[in-house]
Amino acid sequence: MPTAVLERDDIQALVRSGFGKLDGSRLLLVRIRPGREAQARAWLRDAEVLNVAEFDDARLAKRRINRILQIAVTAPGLAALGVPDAVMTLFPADFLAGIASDERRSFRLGDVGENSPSRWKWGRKGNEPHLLLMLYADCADIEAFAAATLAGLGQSCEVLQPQLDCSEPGIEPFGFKDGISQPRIDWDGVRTPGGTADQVYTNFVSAGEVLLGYLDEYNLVSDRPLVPAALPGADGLPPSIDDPERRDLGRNGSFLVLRTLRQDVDGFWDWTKREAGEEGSLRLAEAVIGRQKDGKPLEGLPRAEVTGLEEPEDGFTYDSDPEGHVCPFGGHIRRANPRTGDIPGGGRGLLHYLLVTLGLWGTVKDDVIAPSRYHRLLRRGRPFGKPGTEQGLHFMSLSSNLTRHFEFIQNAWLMNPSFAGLSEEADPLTGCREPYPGGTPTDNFTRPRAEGPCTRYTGLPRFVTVEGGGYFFLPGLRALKYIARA
Amino acid sequence: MTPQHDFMIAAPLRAGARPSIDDLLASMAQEPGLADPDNPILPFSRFPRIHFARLLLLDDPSLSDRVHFPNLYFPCPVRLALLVVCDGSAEAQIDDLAAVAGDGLRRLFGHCEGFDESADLRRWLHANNIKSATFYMNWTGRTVLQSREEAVLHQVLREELAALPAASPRETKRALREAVARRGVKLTPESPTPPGRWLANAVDLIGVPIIILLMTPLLIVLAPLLAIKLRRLEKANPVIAPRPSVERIALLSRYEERDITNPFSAMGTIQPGLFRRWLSSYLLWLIDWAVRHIANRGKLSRVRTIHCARWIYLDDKHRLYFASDYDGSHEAYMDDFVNKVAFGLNLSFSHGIGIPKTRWLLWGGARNEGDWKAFLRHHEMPTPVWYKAYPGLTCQDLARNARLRKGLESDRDDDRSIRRWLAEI
Repeated sequence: MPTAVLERDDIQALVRSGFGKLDGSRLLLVRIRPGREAQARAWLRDAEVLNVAEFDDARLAKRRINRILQIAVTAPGLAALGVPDAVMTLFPADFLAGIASDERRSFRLGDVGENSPSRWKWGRKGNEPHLLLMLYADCADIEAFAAATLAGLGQSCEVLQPQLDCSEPGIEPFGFKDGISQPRIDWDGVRTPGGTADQVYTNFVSAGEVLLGYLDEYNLVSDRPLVPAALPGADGLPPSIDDPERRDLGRNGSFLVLRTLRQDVDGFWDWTKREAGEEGSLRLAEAVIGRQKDGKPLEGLPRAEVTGLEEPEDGFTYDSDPEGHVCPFGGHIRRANPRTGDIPGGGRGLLHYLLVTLGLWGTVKDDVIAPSRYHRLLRRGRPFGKPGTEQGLHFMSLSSNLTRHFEFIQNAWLMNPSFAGLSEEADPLTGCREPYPGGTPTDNFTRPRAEGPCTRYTGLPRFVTVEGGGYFFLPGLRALKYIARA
Repeated sequence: MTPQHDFMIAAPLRAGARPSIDDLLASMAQEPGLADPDNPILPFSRFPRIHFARLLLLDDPSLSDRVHFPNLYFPCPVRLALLVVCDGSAEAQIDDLAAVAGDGLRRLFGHCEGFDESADLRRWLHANNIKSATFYMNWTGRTVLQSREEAVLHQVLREELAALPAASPRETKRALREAVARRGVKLTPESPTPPGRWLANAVDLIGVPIIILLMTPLLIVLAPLLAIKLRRLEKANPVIAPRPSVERIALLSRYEERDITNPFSAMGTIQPGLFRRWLSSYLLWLIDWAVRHIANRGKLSRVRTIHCARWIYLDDKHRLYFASDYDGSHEAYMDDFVNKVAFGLNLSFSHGIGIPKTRWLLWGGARNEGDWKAFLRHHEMPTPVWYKAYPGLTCQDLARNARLRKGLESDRDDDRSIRRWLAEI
């Protein structure tokens, strides 16, 4: 049975909030200098990392927190900090391999052509950051906060360039409201996944979809490093809920993906104007994104009962739009979260369930998309750059399983040219535009119309270019102490 | 209607032949795993009836799991296997292969024990054809020729529609029809169904349920005993699902995603004892019937991404080999397995040793997400040579193209159905 997430003082506050009230943010990517590991560990042990309990208390007391530090670490970072091999190998292979580990993974993620890791500004294999220090403060204070943090680190670390400076969250550079439609984590342990209620779309996810060491949507605990209790330092770690012999290095932690996405703002709006004229430009842009600029659903999508909503305007599904006349199948947010339940169109009793399961019921469009609840991400990204300079988004996601969450969404839903029975088109917003194997193009976008023939846009330019990325482990605070122990 | 068939020619590899056969197989691929359709050893492009083909070494990576079953002794050779799915008779296809690519096949199977260069190749191939227990084809009757012609039709319709001025649905359809005729798009009519197939099919369709009906009284009497036995075996079977290492995933994924469709190959050992052997045979026989008569129109249970799948026993039913051709990434395939058709996987695979815990044959098993994915990676084998007759096309594409052709040839002229047809272009 799911239980409430009670160890809130062991969870980094980023799991709870994107700290939108603090409009300044800097992401420091650092590598530990050889020979200075002890100094780096000492700094980590003393680092003041805000936890969920502190964040909640401050919010309740209406007390403002002026500076927030959060810390994540890569696999090379764990090794550099001296985590023994016997413990390293307990981490899942996707985390250990890293985002830019091999050409096959890069292909799956759409990191090919101009997006190739060989062109990245940071995160290339062999030069991965060890630590990600996420700093949040007021805009006016962020520089001083960063300087103070770097002074604390002293000579133990080398700061990689570029330093990732973020601007105010909320609106991404193309002008659309961002960071909305977040899944709602079942902090209180009230959700029992897999029941008939899940035959329709829900915005709830079990805690284990984001946090390691908790039950997930399968009512199982996802793979995470379980350390033999006898190993040095393991006694400081939380116990494992399913293995009494081991301590849970993953518990209260999460896997973090960071990707620097440069956005071609002029290119995007020039293209919409070229294709749809001055007056149709906004409508086309909204079709590409799949929602209105201010974050509201596209006009014509009726309100739907969705459980676990974070924001009321997020209460819609695509069940009322099976032909894609309102929101194209290829629209970015329809791809990134198709809002599908376990049974296409929702359940209609036991007989219906059996017929559907056996494949004896349904239309040709049913079941071409996987159920949503196993593939959700908590997003914590922030935009960067001012108009006239390089602009984009430092995309950041948290989840408990890199392959099932981030890689699945990126590959099966965004980059796949056959998503939802489409052909020859990847995500119109973030697609890399490189052809698929065999020469299948991916640079088209289809807008179905009630009048019959679809409007088809061909030869889309690339609007988003990947400039860096990494897979990180956002440890629980006891786990961080373990990693940094002397 | 031309039915599809499958065959697998496999024979044990000679001692010491491994490096040479690895090199030869690699030489047939244009990139890791993806066959060069014109490779000189086995030029697949010269066989217009072949849908899918693969060459691989059936080298079970999970053999060491048998330490958990000390009484399980039998030889388990590594085999070189050629698997083919084709239109029409498998026997005729084997004859074709021998006639056209005799030299290449001799070079390949020359790596096998007991292969005699001077003997009759055709006879040897037939003698080493291992029949599948269950064969699933996404759409019975859809031929290679049809798939290719309809793909051209889709392309032409797309181009022509983009060039047409806005008009009423009926006028648009008329213009498209004219364009298709003008551009000489070839759409070969369906071939006649082989004589006797209808009768054989009908006998098969009702025969199997009759046999089951006749067996039912016996099964009801035995049910309590069988249920106890089943549960005992389920509880005793240890879960063997080691998490794959970075290196193992890299090795397997090296051969993946060279097309929108991927080959999958996995094998394992059946648990000892007559109960599992019989239950496994019985269920695969039932599934084979079900996919022949029910799941033959685009989906296997809820899964719409599998072009074909085969379950093949080896070594006197001590081992089972599963091969499939699926659309999308490995992880997307796993998602289909775990979230849509777990019960079917449990029915067919839960007789193997080391499977994640099943309950009452249908529940658990593949629903144990992490264990299941690790279990399959543990049993998976790379496919160094894989051929697909229609690169870049998914099951969805093939089905849509067939609908487009049907719509084109249909005389229904109400605006609604024409609009739907136009929307699919």
